[in-house]
Amino acid sequence: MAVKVRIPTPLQRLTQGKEEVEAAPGTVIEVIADLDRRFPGIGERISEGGKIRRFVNIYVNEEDIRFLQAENTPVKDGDEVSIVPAIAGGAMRDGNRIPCKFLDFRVCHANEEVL
Amino acid sequence: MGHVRGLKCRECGREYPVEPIYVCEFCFGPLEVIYDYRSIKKSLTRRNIERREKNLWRYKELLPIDGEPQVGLKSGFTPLIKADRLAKELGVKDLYIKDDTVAHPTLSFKDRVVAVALTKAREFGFDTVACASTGNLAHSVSAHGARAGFRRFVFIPATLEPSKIVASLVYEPFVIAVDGNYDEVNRLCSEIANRYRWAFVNINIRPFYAEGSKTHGFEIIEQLGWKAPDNVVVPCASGSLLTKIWKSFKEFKEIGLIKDLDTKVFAAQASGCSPISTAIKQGTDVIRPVRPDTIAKSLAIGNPADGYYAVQAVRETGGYAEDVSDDEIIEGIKLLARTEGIFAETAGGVTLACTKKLIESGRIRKDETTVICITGNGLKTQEALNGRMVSPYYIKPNISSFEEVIEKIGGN
Repeated sequence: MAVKVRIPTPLQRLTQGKEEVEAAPGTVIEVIADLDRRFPGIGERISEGGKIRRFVNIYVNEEDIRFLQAENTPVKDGDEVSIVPAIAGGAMRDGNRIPCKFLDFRVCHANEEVL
Repeated sequence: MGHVRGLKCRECGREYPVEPIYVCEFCFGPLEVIYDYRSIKKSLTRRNIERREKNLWRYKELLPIDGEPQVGLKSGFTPLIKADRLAKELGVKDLYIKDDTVAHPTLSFKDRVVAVALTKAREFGFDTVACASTGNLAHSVSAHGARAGFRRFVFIPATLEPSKIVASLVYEPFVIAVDGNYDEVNRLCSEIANRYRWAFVNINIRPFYAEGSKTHGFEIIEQLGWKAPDNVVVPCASGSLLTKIWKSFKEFKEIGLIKDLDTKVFAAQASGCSPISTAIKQGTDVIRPVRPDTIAKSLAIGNPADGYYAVQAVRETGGYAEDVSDDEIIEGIKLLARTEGIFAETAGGVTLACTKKLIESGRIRKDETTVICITGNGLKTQEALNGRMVSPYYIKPNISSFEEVIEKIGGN
């Protein structure tokens, strides 16, 4: 068994179109490093200098890692990691759509209705 | 005539051409308009500005359009009121209200951002404009869009109170009532923005739209006699307005319209939705999302998109943040109305009540100049005051009945 990682649409170009891939267990940042070994280039899209980028949200078993141990959150075999860009629905220039299954508390660029 | 150099990711700095896009393809950060300040400096002087018409376009070089303004030619340049009676009540010397309760045409500061968004939408060649909104934004898109001759789509949650829908419906846009909550409406709109070539003012036009907020700040400085205030108190929902007001002050310094800039920026939130003020008070960069529970519905964003940048601006300027209860919000609305004759929406109650707290705690000093940003009209959120007001005196149509009241209130 390994860790399951869900890849958002704009990054699937780097995973040969795969929506779900596997990685070795470890901390979140180690999982990202392992992903980058398997799919070169994906690491810098998600993280910079050992930190998850501010507009990328990572969930371990549907829990936001900012409220766990951030980059050091442990990920075990069988856990599910989701990578979700912090944009609602995800209108990108290339027309890709980002599945946004965790809707309730996403940081939404679009959510600019007020002030 | 345009001075826009392009769009730039606030996070990783990658640059993009001027297009209806809003997210960095590389790191998913928000895109922001960048300008050529050296060329602006040459053409935008105090004298030039002062000779222009009194609307938000008098600062057009610092707004993200290429041609001439096309929408909102009477929007902006709202009063900056010296609030002496309120100042006395709060025990401070110099207090001002920047009063967007009288913004043209729909009585909120949204008339500024929509004026810029729709002008840009026209430049991009869109014939349809749209937004997801439960209030002020919908009203402004509906009204500005009507006059500018756009086809308009306004998306709302179907459960919205009829009274709130009327102020949009009267302009006859297509109102789409979605069977879902506001988050779901917002997400649907992102998908629609992807599929239809429409200008969603707060989605694909957002980098341009948000720049319109700067005019609130430009006006404060001009109306203070080309001086930045010591303190400015700004209501926060997404944090965008606060971020842009601070940007506007820095831009005026950058192009030499003011020499000194030593303003402290303060964030105001409702305690029932205070992710930004909580982060500031706790001294952290991490915005912890909350489920909003406040009467200040126009500030009820539990996970603010520009929260991080708002926290940075407050910290950079040595400001602080405060948040207030629903009761304090009501008291704030009433205090502003009673002392200065201005009826603000609930967000205004938040800003006023937070200012009061900041003064009481000594964060805002009594001998300094402070501007309170009031962003919307109370006539739109009257239900918040139900049961919280003074009552009329009911009398018979004769003089003795009236004089009984006079005796009661001792007002002879």
